[in-house]
Amino acid sequence: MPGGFSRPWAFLSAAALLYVPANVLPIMRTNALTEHRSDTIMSGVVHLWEGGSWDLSLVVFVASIVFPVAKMAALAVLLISARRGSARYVRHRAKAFRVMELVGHWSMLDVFVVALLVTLVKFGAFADIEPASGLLAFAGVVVLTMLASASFDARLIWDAEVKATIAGTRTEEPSA
Amino acid sequence: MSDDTKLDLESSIESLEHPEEPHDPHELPGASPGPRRTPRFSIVWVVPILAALAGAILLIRALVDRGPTITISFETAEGLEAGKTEVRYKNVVVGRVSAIALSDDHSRVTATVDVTRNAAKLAVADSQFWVERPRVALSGVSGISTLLSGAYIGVDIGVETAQRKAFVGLERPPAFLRDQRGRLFALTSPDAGSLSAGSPVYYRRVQVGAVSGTELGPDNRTILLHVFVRAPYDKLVTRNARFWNASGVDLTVGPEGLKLNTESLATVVAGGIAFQTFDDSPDGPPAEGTVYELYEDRVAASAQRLTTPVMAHMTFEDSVRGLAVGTPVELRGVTLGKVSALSLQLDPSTKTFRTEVVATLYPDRMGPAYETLRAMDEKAGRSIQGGLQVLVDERDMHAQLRSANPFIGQTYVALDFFPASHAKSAARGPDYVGIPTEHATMDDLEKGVRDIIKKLDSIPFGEIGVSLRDTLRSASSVVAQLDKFIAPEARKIFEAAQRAIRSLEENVAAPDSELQTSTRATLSQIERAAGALRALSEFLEQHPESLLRGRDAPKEPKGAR
Repeated sequence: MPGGFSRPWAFLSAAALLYVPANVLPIMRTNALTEHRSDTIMSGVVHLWEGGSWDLSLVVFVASIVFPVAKMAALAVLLISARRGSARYVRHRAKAFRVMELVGHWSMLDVFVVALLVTLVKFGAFADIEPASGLLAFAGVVVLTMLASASFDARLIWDAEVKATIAGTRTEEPSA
Repeated sequence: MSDDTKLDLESSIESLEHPEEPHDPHELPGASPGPRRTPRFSIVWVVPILAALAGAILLIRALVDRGPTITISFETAEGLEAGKTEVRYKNVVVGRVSAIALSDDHSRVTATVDVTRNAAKLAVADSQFWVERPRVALSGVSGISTLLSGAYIGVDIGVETAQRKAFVGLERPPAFLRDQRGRLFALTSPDAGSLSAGSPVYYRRVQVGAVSGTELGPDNRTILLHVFVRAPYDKLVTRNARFWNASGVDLTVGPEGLKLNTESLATVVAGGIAFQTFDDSPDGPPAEGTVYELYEDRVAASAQRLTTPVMAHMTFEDSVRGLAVGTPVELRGVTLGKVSALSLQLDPSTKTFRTEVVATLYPDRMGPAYETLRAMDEKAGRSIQGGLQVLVDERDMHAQLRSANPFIGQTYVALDFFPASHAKSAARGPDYVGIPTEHATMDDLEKGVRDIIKKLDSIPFGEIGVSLRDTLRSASSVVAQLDKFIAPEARKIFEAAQRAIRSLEENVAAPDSELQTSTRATLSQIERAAGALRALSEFLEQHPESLLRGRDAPKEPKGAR
């Protein structure tokens, strides 16, 4: 199905484009009595790590940096291989797609954390947290990767095998 | 699919979702997909284009907001923190320190500041930066708010248009900000004393400005002080204004006695400058670039008039003890000036010492007399100095050392008129008045005082004391004798007197006393005698003949009884 490729590609490239501002721009501004800081995703991770909460830091790092990148890379690999009609590792690819679908939602964690903080921390002059433009971009990345994986027709993975089956009249082992 | 002008993320997704359903089933049997896919291809790709646009806008906005980056070097990074310390102008955050590093030669600290976009123009060539931190100085406390918020970098935005990237920060806040209205004045002084940037400037004890900086004068021998006077007080600094150092306590022991003068308690410890206009002569704003002189004290400032002083030379043959630079020169009690120099000279021919005294006189201090003098001088076509010389020559105006206060040894130079004087006329010069001198009255006075003391000394206070003691002793012995011999006798006399009075009371005053009874008996006898006399006188009145004939004895007894 060649028509099925353009939509995931479009969403994926949009997500990739937004990924740059999402990581470069600050996602959160903290105004405390003596401290004014704006954090990007990575500086937040570093801040947490330096503050001693390495576990939390790791969770944020995996959810906000590893997952989106992994998801986009995986989607790109799937799309390219499906386009080229590669019949190799079909099962692994299908499995990777399912895992990716499952885990991709967790990337929204960061967005939710900031949203919660923004609503909870409102102490006027003493402490105040406000979202910054990077958060918007990051949310866009997560939503777009989800849209990309949703618009990706998983059947395309198997197409190559089906084609091969038709062409080669069972040169490879049959599959259910 | 209808309008592609306002496509946001969701609506574009929606519009992409729908058109596919009717097309897909038709496509299945088709054999020529090429030409039909081209239009749909472009619509799907609107999403990444939009994402790219959004991303680009976000990034560009972030970059644009950032504004220029400048570096400011300070002597120390005390209170500065990368990522935290703000740059404020009028308490508005206009930037933030992003990094702090040591300079290449480790002598200074370089703070890198990200300036916000809307304040990009602050980084002009003559902008000034300083670190605002709590400062507790003798003259006051500043930057209290930074105790809580932490130090921040203050900026005074310059007026030039040329942009600059690297600045050298001030070590202390400037005395005034550029947009503060007021005026800068330059003062020159032989030394800065206790004055420094930030020292207050007073006008009649009201603080109207501050010293903004000090620097060495062009000849390296004077100090140039820059003083900022706030509007509207800057108008008070006129051409005739006189500045003086109001630092510390001005305690003068002068001929007038003790005098204590301070500007304000703060200046006593921290120093300060005061200014005032002392005369009422026509005045106006000072010319551009006027450098005022900073006088050492108020007296010096008030003494300095616009009229040029007249120098006077005097030569004293006697001792000039008590005379010093600054000793007042008075004309009939009015201070005209002061001694500005004195030197001991030796005449080689006569081998006598004499003291050359140079005095600075301000003749305008004479007041109305000065006006008259000036009018006279103008008429005669001579200077004030010439007029004074005429007074010396024609009216015998001479100088004399006088003691103002013999007990603290203060003297003054008195100018007075000595018509019968035989003083030597003094040398005169083209630029000074020569004033002859009279012998000091101080010596006579001192001698007199010494004589009095000597006389007092010769009084035999010791002997007087001894004889006084003897007298007292004999007096006390007399009293003791009186006590011893007279007192008992006196007591006896008193007792006898008491007894006499008591017996008198008993014998005379009591109603049944002998005297009383006998007196009463005597009185009744006298009464009876008086009655008999009365009867006799009546009988004689009626029978005067009885004196001659006697009574009729036989007839009488019946009639008479």
